[in-house]
Amino acid sequence: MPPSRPHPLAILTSLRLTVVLLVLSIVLVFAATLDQVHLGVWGVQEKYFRSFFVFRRVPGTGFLFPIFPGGYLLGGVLIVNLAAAHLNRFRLSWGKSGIWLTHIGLVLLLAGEGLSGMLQKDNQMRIDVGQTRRYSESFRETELAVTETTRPGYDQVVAIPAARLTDGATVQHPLLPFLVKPVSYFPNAMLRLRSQVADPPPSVATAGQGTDIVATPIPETAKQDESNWPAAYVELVGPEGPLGTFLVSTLMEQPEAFKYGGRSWRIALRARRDYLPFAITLVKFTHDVYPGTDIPRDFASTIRLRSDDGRDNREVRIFMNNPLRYAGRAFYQAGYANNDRTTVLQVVRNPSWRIPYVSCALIVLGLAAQFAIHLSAFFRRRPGAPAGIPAGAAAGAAPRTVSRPAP
Amino acid sequence: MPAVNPTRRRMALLAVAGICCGLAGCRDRGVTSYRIPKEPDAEAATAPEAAAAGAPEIRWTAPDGWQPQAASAMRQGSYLVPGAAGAAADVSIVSFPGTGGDDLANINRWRDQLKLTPVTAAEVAGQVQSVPGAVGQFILADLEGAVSERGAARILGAWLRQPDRVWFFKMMGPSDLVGAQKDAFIALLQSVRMAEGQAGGPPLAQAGQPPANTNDLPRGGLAPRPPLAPPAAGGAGMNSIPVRSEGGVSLVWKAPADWQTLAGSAMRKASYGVGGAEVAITAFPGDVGGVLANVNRWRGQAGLEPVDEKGLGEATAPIESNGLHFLLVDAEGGSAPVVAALLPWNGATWFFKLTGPADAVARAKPSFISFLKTVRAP
Amino acid sequence: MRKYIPIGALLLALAWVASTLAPQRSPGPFDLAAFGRLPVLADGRIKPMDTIARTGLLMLQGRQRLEAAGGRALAPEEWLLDVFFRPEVADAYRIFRIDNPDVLSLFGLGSGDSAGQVRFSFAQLQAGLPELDRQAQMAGPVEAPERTAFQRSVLELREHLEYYSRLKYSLGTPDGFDLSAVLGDRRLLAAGRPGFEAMATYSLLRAVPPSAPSARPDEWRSLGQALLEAVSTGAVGPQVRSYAALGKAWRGSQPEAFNTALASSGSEISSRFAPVARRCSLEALFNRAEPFYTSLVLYVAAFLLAVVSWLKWPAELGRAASWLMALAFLLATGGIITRMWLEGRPPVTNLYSSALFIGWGAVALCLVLERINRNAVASSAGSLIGFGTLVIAHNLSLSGDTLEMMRAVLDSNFWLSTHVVTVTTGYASTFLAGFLATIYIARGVFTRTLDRATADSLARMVYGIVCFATLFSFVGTVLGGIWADQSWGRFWGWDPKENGALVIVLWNAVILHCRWGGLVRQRGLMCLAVFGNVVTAWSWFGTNMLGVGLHSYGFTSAAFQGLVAFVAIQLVVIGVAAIPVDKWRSSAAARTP
Repeated sequence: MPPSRPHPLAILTSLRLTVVLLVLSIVLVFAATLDQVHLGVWGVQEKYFRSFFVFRRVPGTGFLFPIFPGGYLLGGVLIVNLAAAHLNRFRLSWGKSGIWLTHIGLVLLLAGEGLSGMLQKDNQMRIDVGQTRRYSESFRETELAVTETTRPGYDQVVAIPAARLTDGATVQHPLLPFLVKPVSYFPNAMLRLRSQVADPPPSVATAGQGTDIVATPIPETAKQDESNWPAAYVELVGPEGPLGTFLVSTLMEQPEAFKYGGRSWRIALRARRDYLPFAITLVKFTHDVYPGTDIPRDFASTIRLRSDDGRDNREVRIFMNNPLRYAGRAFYQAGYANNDRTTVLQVVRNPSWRIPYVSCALIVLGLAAQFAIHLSAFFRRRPGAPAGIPAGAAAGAAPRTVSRPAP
Repeated sequence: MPAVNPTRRRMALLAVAGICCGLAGCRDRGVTSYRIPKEPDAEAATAPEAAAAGAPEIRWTAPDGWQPQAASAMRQGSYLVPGAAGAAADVSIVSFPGTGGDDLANINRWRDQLKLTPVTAAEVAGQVQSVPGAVGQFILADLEGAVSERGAARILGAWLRQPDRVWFFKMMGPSDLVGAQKDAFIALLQSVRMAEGQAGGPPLAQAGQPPANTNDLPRGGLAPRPPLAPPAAGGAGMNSIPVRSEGGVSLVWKAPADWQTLAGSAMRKASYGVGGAEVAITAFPGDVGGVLANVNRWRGQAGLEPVDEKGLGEATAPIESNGLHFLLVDAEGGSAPVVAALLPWNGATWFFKLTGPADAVARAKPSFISFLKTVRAP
Repeated sequence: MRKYIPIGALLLALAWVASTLAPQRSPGPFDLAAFGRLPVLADGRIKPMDTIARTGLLMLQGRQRLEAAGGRALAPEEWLLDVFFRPEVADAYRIFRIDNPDVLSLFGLGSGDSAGQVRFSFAQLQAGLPELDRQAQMAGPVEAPERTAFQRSVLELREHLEYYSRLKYSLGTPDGFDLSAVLGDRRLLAAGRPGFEAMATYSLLRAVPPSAPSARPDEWRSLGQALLEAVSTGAVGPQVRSYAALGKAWRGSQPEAFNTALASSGSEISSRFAPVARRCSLEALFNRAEPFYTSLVLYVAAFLLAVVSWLKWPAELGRAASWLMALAFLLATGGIITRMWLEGRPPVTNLYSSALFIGWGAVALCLVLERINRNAVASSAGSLIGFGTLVIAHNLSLSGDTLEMMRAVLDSNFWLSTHVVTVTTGYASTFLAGFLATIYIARGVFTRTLDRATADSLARMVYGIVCFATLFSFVGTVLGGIWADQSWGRFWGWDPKENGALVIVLWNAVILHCRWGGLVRQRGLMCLAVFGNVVTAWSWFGTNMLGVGLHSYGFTSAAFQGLVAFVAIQLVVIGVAAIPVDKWRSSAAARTP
């Protein structure tokens, strides 16, 4: 093989690239694991894995500098490298069928995880015993819900994601007779009654409960046993002028109510809701422990499931390791509160949830096929096998043909 | 030469697919609108002109010595009542909108917590009493049962019904501690006032703890912590059932020189031999069944007929000495005479008992009574 | 003469093993073995008193051996009986191990009379208890990963003292009052109510079985609860009487009364709760036999024989080594199976059992390898790993009963037996590859015994094991993902333990790809395999120490130091391998690998 500059695209098929990518992945995963102590699992996922690059803030400026490839980049190039090398080197033949299956399964696994990262939505439902809920709430996202309650049969909700409140741009919606103008948004704030604060600053809110409350922004927390309580001041502006500036916060138990234009309205900042085409009522929640200890033996929620179209009306028991799969979602027993009077169900919607199962089946099939092929070749080749070939050598995939000599 | 063209084409396809997936992952920042059926439990805070919104506040005066704990999303008020030797009782004040269950449900819920069998509706009346307070009538239940998981053996619970909500006041802890605090608890109930007419302000949720995760073991603190060292018993080296006295102090006395000190037993604070008779000093927490029961117990041991409340005055004689109030019981004249004194002191009852053959007891009795007068609190 | 070495070694070892398994007679007139078999409910599981005694001593002082003043060795049951019924005597035994000098100074210990002592008695600590309490209250709210060594020691000591206190409340009260004296008189019984309430609240054990024979473990009551019931109903159950009689006999040093009470109690339990009694008997025997300790000693012997066999008498010593290793393996297998039967669970349920299983799996692989290669290399690697994992397991057993109940989220025998066992096998095989590589490097650099045949055989072994490890780690990780999907709604959550397993798979894949691409040859392969030890040690222990994620077990500084030392040793081995090949002592004996 004459020494020549390898074709640039040939690098994509090279084994060396695979090794480099694998090593980089190891470094990425290790760094992310260490950082999880500070950032929490969600922060680490956003920073390291659901990104093309890992950024670091240049000290003193707001400039973000990429210092390491992120999950999407490494995963993407790995998929490309795997596909390219495979297509380049392996002919379609029965002898290599195991390897084909394995690699297809691997590609599918990586791609499936990438898809899950983009498509999966996790919500939760907190239900007290006896309470009925028809919506699930996001863990971290909040929305400003402006609800018209004039009509007797139903309420009309306009939900503005909190992300729209952070940039200060006015929101206009055809169903609202006024503009919603965000004045300020705090990702985490402390609310106290005006009467309990010494020397309170002048109130930003001009209407509603906010006039009695002092909202102080505090730093966001990433600890697992603490939550963030966002708050915002929003000004509602009608054609003839502002209606008032309201304080809205997830800490406020009840929405602000007001009337305008002959219609009744409510406004509140709350966890983002996904309304479901069915209702769930918590009938009973059990928390068994082993006698004499507080080690939990089981958590179970007995719920009644009632779909809006009347087709389903049944009791279901959701307990540990046994979710309810219904309407494209999975409901898991995730938590409990209030002295075992409230259950917390995790609601996961992931259209690509079957992909890991399919890909794992393919990989297992492929590995087993390859092992079987090697084993039969081993026995066919020599009846008395030379001593020293361990059984394990045949268990893996076949060695690849080397395209150039190793230095 | 590696095959370039098929690879390149496939690469491009994959890259395009990757970009599409990346774009799809961008967060949707659109405003959405939808209709929902009316929600019955959502109550809005009305405009300031309307009536005060939210739960009415109540105020109360906590008795001395009760340690306030942080209120939570569930509890309006929470106290820890410390007792001796690490014992503690827990007091909670909660309110629920609505009727909060009827009396029978409440009683049986608390009975269940104490591992007692539930009662029927007919038996409820016998379990509760009515306590009048400034804001209304409290229904009070005093339940004593087996020890529950949290170490409590007695619940003092009271509830107050109002038109739109119910208030529960509950003290849970070891029997004697709760018993000792019963008066304070009732005083608390009677100190409850509604905070009407004051702008309590809009109700703010407590930024309390997020719900517990089913994957985790619960945080510690559920099991009651034992006292590391038993409370110091009175008397050097004598064993006794732990008597709860403040700071572990005990009565002291001076036995006459001719009394022999006998070997102590697990039950006694001290034992003396007096001629052929024996003096035993024991102490038990609480009132050990009351004066009448103990008097009749001794009379029974001595072979005499029991007396009732009216006859108590004749069967006993008070002795005052060093600020202590003894009650002397002279049960002589029976087959096995008993001369004993009963002394309630510091949350416990002390017994000084002289027993033996009739003549020995008769001879030792004056010595016994003058011995009683040497007993004093340190 | 030489050819009798293997059989001689095996017979010697067999004799010793048989002696450890034989049921022991109780020293002295008290039937302590029968007391050790009494079942009680503690930590959610019905176990024999013997387990309570041994795990209690292990937890408090790090070992089971206890000496009374005067040098007499106490059986664990004797200690437990003294704690229950003669607390004033038990308070004088030196059982609380304290290493931290600041904690010692809290009690005024560690200098003067008590300089050099590591174990202290309750009586010695009594004066300083309020101060300890105060310090513990201050240290408690601090987050676990941020505690200083002093805070950790304080909290640990307080926990131990509370455990000891709770033992005292289990069958009596700490001031040792005589229960049998009050059982006859109902009024005295009523008067004892506060004491019984204290017993019911703080008791560690539930010693009184339910009256109906087929009841669930929930129905077992503590002695305090049974006494409170006796106060209200007036009827005292037979078990209560038995324990009272037992206490009185022990306090009064009356062996006949003691044995009589035990016999009646034991026969009642075995008639009404036969399966429970059988299980407790087996567990008591298992505790006494200490099969893992026996295995540990056999592994050491096997290792020494294997190493010596590289220098002299290879055939005979090599065979002796592999036979001893096989015997140790059988013993460990028996131990693991017994644990599985006692718990009703697959072999790996917690960190302790994972250590046992890693040792077991590695030795199993080595037995196979040794059969194929017969050069005592696999024997040495296997016995070394067996020894190491048993030492780790012993250290993990110091925090309490290792047969613990599984919390709800882990309560799935299917996933425990598939995912956990597969992943643990992956760990075991990655460690094995690393140790085989270490042997290659050690023999090559420091001895002349790494000839061509041995080097090639080692290289084949390492390659084969790495393939095996890749397969099992990958399958195990995937099974874990499926379990997570069934339990928590997502296949992969970037939890530290999941990340650790992923890194093992990735690293094994790196080794294989480097080998296939010719990027490394034998020496490089060995270095990569040794680094696999670092990766696996991180995944097995390091991820638990971060204190975050679904698998956090908390930070122990001793374990952290151990981990750092292990990683440092592996890096040193890799550094040694980096010495140019011609400087290796074996390079003259072999062609350059």
